[in-house]
Amino acid sequence: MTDEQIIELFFERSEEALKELDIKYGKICLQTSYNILGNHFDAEECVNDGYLGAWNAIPPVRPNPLLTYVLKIIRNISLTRYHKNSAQKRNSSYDLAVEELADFLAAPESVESMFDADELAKIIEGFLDSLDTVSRVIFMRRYWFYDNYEQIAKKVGISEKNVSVKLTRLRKRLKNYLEERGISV
Amino acid sequence: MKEKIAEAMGKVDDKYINEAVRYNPKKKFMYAGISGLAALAACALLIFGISGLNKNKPNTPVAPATPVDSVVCIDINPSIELNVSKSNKIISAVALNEDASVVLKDMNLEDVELKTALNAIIGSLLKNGYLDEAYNAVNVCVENDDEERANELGDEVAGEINSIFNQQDLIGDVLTETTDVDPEVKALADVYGISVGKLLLAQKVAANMSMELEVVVRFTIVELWDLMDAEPTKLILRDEALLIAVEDAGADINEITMLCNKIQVSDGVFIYLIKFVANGNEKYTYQIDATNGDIIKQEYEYGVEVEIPDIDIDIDTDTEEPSEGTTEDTTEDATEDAIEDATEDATEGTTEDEYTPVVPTKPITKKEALAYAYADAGVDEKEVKLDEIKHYPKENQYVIKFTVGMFDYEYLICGSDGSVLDKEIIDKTKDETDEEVEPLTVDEALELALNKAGVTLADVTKYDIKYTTTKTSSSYKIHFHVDKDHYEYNVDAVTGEITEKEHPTPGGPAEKEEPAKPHEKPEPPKPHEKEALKKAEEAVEGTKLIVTVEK
Repeated sequence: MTDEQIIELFFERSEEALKELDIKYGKICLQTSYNILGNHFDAEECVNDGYLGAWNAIPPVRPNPLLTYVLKIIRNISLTRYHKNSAQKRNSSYDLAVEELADFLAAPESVESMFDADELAKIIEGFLDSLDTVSRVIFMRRYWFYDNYEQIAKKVGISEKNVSVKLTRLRKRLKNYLEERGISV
Repeated sequence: MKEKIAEAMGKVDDKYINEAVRYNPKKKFMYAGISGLAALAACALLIFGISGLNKNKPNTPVAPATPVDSVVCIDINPSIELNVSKSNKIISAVALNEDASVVLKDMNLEDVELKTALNAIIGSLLKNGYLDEAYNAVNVCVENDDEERANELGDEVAGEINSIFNQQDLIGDVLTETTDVDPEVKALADVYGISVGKLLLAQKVAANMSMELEVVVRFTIVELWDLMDAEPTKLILRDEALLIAVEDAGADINEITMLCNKIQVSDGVFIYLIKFVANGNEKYTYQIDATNGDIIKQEYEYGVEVEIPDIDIDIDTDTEEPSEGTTEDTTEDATEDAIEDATEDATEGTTEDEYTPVVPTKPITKKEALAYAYADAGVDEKEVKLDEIKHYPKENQYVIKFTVGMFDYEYLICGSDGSVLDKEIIDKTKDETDEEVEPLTVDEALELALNKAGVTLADVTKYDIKYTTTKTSSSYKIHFHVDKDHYEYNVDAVTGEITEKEHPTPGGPAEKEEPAKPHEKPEPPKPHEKEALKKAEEAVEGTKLIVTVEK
């Protein structure tokens, strides 16, 4: 079923919409949530909550592309769940990905205090625009989807070692990019 | 901090997320992406199971014993036509192009349920590398004069493909369309070796982009989908792109040997990929922006031994005819011409833009393939840590990955003659941004030197700056005086590192300059550095006085 057909089902308030959404995109949604939470049970709950969020938003929203829209909802819900769950075991792919980036840009008083998330997002977008496609995909897969190296390697068709090397360079490049814009890191 | 970054990442534009979801690696890397074929064993078994049951039956196409109710065309890159009975059983499966022949090889789908056949076909598509784990676009077209029946069957096929994708952990979209049975459209599709569904899609794109149908039908389904939404774009001629590349290489158009000249769409950008050999053994690869002729990428390989194909290059350098991509003569008007052109292409066997070397049947051994790769890299086998070697029989190519010290090598070796088809060398010690870094400006270098000395420009009474380039580096030599103190710094023009200094020298004469050092001679290049050094040699060498100021 195409995205348009699924969205039509949402507009018709047919519960088939959720079923078709899950058939088409269930796995990537669950994987994204699991990357953050490291727990299948929690991830499934977040995915279901995400579907509910989509159900409430569509209509009037008519997202295009549908997958990106749903993934954003699920990612946000998963991150909220992650922060609420104080007993969360801190070893998910999310922890590893964010920590490696935060460690590299370790200067909380600079980036954190000078820029709010919106401004920082714009700067990161500028950085992403400066990259070639493969590098941009690798960066996004690691720091948006929180994929591990193996998953990224499969996705872009290079070795895990190569992914590791490329990510190291990308972090260095990001650091330079921020420094050039007067953000001391 | 972590939360802030995660929050900021969550706010980046959707286009980056969408790109990361839909990213589809180029064919070269598809090999590595299809490593998890174990999960497809079920499909593979199904394929061979079906094949085994029908061993004595001829391969497709099969003369229909029952009337054909509908024709289901499936396009990914392989184009397959399924003639289906009213009871949704396969009457015959037809390979419309070479890729489809590979997919349907050893399969006999006669009398098989449509659903089962789709399972088998998708299993084979995966097995043969036509689907990947990233993103897939499938075009389904159902031909039936009964619109209701066509829609019903289209939904069923699309639903089944989606369901199989889900089972196989694949992501993709299925676009379904229906059409009446039209012999003329069918005939044109046959000429191009594509399905009616792909032809209809290509016709829409050709009309949208004002491009020749003959060019458009060569795009993949994903590219066609992208082009459906693209802004109409005028493209330069294929030959114009070639002339740009040849001129840039400093070669003579009449002396080159053409290897490849084809148009591609990458991230919505039209690119001519041009490969040729000049002066016997200099291989050039160019990517030319098809909209404006800009050179996007150039690669140069010296000392290659290339089998010279017998292809005539017919370039009319004086031509000022409208671009082949911009002609108004599209779709219906161009149909007859397109049929004629495509037929000519088919009879010639090899077209200029789709040149493929003739591949002998017996491949070289893995050991030989390794030897070719090592020889090209100029490395000793004993130093090599082999990471991977795979042979792809269909293409008769070896993918070889190995590490030597801090260098990662990836080679694509031709399985018939051991020639290097593609390679990538990654220097793990070097930041890949190095080549892209703009050198410091004079002002920036001076500022660094002043900062280092802890003085400002206002304090300086006299200064001079010299810019020196060698084959391997470039730097600013900065002298300045603050009162009676003399300062001297060397500032690396790329890294900004202050590599040498002298300060302060009370009363030291500003004129007391060291004679310019002879340029350092770099160590003999390693084989993998040859290419980079050749480019570096083109850079201007020497020392020049940029500025002298006395206050």
